[in-house]
Amino acid sequence: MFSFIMNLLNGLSFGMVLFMLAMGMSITFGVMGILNLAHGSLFMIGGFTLLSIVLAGGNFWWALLIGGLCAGAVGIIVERLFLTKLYKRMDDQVLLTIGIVYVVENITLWIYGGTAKIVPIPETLQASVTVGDYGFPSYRLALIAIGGLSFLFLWWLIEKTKLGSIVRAGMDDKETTLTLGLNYTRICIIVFALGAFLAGFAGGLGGPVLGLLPFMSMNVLLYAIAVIIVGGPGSVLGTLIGALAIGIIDNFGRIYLPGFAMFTVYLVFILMLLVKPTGLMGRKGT
Amino acid sequence: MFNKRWLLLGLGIGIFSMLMFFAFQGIDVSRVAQAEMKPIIIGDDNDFTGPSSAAAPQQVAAMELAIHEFNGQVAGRPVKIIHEDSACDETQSVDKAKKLVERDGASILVGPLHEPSTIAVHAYLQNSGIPHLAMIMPEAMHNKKNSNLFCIHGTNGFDGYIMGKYAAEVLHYKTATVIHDDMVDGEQFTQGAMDAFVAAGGKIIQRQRTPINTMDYAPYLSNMKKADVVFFWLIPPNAMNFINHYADYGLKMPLMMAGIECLGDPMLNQLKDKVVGMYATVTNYQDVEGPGVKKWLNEWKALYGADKKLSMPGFVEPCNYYVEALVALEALKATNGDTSPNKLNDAIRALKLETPWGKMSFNDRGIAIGNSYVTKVVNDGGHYKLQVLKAYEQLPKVEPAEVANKAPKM
Repeated sequence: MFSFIMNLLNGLSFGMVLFMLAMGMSITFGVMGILNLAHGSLFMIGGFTLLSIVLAGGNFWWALLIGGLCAGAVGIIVERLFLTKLYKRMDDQVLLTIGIVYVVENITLWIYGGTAKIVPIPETLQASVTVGDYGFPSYRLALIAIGGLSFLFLWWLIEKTKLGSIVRAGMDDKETTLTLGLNYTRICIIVFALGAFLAGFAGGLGGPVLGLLPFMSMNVLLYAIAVIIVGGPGSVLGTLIGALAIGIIDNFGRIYLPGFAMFTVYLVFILMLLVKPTGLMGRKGT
Repeated sequence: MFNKRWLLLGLGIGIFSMLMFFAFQGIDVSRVAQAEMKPIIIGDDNDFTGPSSAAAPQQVAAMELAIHEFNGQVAGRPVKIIHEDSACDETQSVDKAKKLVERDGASILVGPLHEPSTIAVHAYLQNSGIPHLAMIMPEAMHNKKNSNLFCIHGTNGFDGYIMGKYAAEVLHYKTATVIHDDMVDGEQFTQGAMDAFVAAGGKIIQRQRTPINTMDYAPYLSNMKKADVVFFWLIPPNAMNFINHYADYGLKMPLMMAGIECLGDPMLNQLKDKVVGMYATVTNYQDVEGPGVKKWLNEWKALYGADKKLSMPGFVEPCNYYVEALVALEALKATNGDTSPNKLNDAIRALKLETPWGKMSFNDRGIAIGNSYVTKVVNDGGHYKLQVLKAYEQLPKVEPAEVANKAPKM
């Protein structure tokens, strides 16, 4: 039983990182229809920024925020300079953002070198909690809690605020929303920045768990896409459900189906595309 | 009678005739001179990008150090290494090998680092017979007489064999759990350890294979059975994560890297106390103490000490690449600069090399015979390094036949 609880907790902690990573991409794709394959690079920017600050003696939690803001800033630059010119040109968006992935990876390699990096955990979270014969790291419990709080904040933002209502309207029917006289361009910038911030924030938070490597963009991106497909783009609750499902399925799959460990997540992904392409809770307009 | 004018005319006709004679004979003196001065090219098919690229700058520096020791020439001819990026990819490895041989005129090819790429490149080089100095001897090839393949590291299984043997015979461990990347290197390293461990009376109670793109080792750690020792081998970024998570989950079983030590100085000093006590095997490495190594490190510091990124070799691979370059240069010296493939291959086979880490030679299968060291990670006044516990001297670096396949298939 304790083994089951440990695996469940492992899946939840991994799932929460995926939730924060994928949420950014979900609202970006849902609102703006932009397929940003450089989302994994934003994750990396957040993680490496946090690493630099922490290694220089800075506070972990401030570094987390700054990492997110740096990723947000990069996101805005990419959106304003490049993506805004490629509206409704998905093929070109894909090519451009893959190019950005290579640029970011090689800049990271140039600055940080090719060795993998470990992100130090705050001292207060370095202990572990006993679960039967096992010890479960306190940091991962904190990850689950932070993920939960992030969900509540994002749900409130999207479901209960004026900004959120505009975002939801844009996801459901963009053309009608544009006729309402709203400054939709500003909304898009805010949404893209928020999405990029979330990716960077996830990178900082996930760094101690997943490690940091210059070539990890595509690896994390695939998980983010799987989460969005399963949960449905544009839905906060859907993304949470998708992320936790992917995290738990991946975790249990590695133990009970080791021969298929590389494929369990993608099997779920393919199944969802066949059965319900809009995802578990995808919005109609997306 | 002796007219000056006739004399000069005669001399002119004579010189002109000589020049015409040589021209029609096809002897181009300038070309002969050029050929003698044309540099000998050693091709380096290396991983500058991709998951194994961490040590690439140091690998290049190590090879250039060998060139520097020879003053950049052999038998009066300049020697040059041309480095290309194989990107840890088989197709690119072959493309770069072709470029190095066909366009750059490489007489010897060094690399690539990984077994699948080595097999691919060697298939290309077999026709030309150009000496191929690879790092790892593919398991599929070590039983054959190889005319032009030489591997200073030997087979993957050999490194694991050393660790399994040490775990059972010296540390007296009885049970082991195994975890490794689900790829050729991981499979072979750990199989060697398992075979030696079982042959010495040990028992393998579990084997977990992890996909190479695994970022979170939590599922495997929660599933790990209790044993006397954990044999593991993962590519460097994965090994970092694994050891980090292993410590975070409070697991206490001794960790034994069942293959070549792949973390290196930078990663050991990131992991710090989390990695203290881990066992690993090395062939050539900066932490193997001895006068030869000390002298070599001093040469390194003299050449590269000013560059912060190259202050130390830092990894096992640069030390190995240095020896590769040394093999190439000594072979060229033995042939007096003759780059014909047959002569070079014979010269390499006949080499009795003195490296900073001891004597080294090759057997008729192209496998190195040399020293291997079992080490343990220690905290040396805040610097985390490998400490040699035992040396296995002058062994051919291949798993002995009597031990191979002793472990049950799992």
